[in-house]
Amino acid sequence: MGTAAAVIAALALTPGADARGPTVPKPGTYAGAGAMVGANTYGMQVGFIFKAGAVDVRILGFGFPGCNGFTLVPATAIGANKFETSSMGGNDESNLLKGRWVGAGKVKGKLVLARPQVASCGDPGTYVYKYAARRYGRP
Amino acid sequence: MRARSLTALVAVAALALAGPASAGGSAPVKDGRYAGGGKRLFVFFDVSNRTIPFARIDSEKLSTCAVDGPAVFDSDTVDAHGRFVLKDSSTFPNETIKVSGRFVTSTRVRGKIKWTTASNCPAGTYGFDYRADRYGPLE
Repeated sequence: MGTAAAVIAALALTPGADARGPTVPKPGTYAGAGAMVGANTYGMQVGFIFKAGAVDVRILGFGFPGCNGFTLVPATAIGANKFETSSMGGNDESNLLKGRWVGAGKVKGKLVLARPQVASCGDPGTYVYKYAARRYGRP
Repeated sequence: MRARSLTALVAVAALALAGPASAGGSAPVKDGRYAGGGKRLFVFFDVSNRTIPFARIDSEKLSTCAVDGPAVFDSDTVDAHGRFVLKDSSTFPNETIKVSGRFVTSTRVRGKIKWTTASNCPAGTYGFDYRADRYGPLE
């Protein structure tokens, strides 16, 4: 009884693990959408390809008119079920995209935009989006 | 008892054959932001009062054939059977892209992208299957 309780506790502490074992990300084409935290505006679009343990972000759009099209550096998945990738834009802007597999073909994550200066679109500040994505095809 | 069961079975079968359209009404379609794709293909569109005012696709399959960037489509209305067709014949010279879809539930779409090119790849018509899901409300 004590052993079973210890196993359950250990599983609960292991990120991405459940009673069926750890989440194993499935290679494929992923797409999804998200909203700015606190605003409920689902203006964020994300699309990436996960293959050979690496994430290649192809689509990253968000709710600033005219601000689409940032290119993110491909990221290697961290700790089997997470990834993180970033880029720098004009006006010292930085973009950080994080993702975590919550199922073999399901990802949840966050996009953090830091815009320290006045730019051609949007006001200065830090904007956080939360998104979900699913697998829609082979890589 | 047996006759009543048979009648119920026939009614259920008839509803199943009718697809998402309810008896005497239109297929239920929920407003919101949709995202999806297929193999190396990304699809994004909005639905508002059964119209699709915005759509975007991006595909490596298309870009290898000298079609760069997302295509932007004319709007269309979802018909009573949950079907729609979006066309883009203006983004790229010598290219016609048609996105057709059907709501298989009020928040899930299956469809096909038909791409006709007159000058590349070689010239011809190519088809790509896609799926899409609703991710959240419109702004």
